[in-house]
Amino acid sequence: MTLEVIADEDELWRRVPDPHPNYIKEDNSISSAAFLTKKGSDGLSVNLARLSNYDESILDRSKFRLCAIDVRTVKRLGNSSLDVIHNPQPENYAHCLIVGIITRAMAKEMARLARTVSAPE
Amino acid sequence: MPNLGEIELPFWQTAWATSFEEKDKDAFFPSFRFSTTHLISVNTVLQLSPKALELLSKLDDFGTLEPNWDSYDAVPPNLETINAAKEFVLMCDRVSLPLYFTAPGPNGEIIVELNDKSGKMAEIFFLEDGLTEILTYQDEKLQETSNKIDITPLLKFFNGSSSYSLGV
Repeated sequence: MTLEVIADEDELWRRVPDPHPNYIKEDNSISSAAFLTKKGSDGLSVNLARLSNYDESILDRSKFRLCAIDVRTVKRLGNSSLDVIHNPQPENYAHCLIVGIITRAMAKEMARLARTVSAPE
Repeated sequence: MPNLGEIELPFWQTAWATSFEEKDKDAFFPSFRFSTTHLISVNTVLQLSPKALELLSKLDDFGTLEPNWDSYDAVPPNLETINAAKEFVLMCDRVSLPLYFTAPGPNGEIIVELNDKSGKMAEIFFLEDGLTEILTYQDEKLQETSNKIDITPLLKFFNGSSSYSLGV
C-alpha cells in the first residue's frame, strides 16, 4: 500500500467511547483517557481525516464519538518527541499512529486541545 | 497526625483530617465493598452527594466492560482497581473535595477527576497494578505529580494554599 505524507495541517480522528463508558464530560470537554496509549502498542491509533469519513471512522454511532486534533498540535505538544506516521491496515487505509511516549500530562493537553466532531447531516 | 500547615480548613474538614487514621478506614467507609445500589439504600446514613453517587454508579458499571470495549483493544478494569477508586470517591465526598468525572483507561486503569471549575483540577490514576498517580493542574498548567494518595494535600490545594505540595 502507498504511504501518505502526513502534513502538519492534517486532521486526525480518534474514536472515543460514549455513553458507556463516556469520555465526553458534561461540559463537553474530552477526558484525557482518550489519548492514553495501551502498553505494548506501537502508538496511538487515529485515522487521517482526509482519507476517511465519519461513519468509517466511528464504526458505531451508538457506542462512540469522534474527536479531532491536528498534526501540528500533536507535534508541538510532544516537543519533537511525538510524530504521526501513516500505518494503513487492510481494512482501514486511513489508519495512522501517533508514535512516541505520550505522558499522562500530554494526554491531558491533547484532550484539552481536541474537539468533538459533529455527525454529518 | 497530618500537618495541616498554615491554611484554615473548615472546622469539620479539619476535625476529619486530624482524626482520620488508616486503621479507621473500615469504620469510616464500611460500604465501598458493596455495590452502589447498597450505597444508595444506606445513603440516609452516609449522606452521599449526588455527584458521588453518580461516580460510584459509573465505577460499578466499569465492572461490566468487555475486553476491547474502546475498539482499540482496551483491557477492562479489575475489581480491585474499581474498589480503590470507589473508596477514594467516598473519602473525597466525605470532605467535600470537588468530584467531577471518572473514566477507565486502555490498560485497566481508572481516572477520577476532581475539578472545582475555577481553574484547579486533579486527575487521580488508579493503575491496574495497584499503584496510583496524582496530577494536579492550575489554569491548565501541570502543577505537580505524586505517587501517593493523601487527602490532606488535596484539601490544601483545593482550599487555596499558596504553599501547595503533594508531599512526595
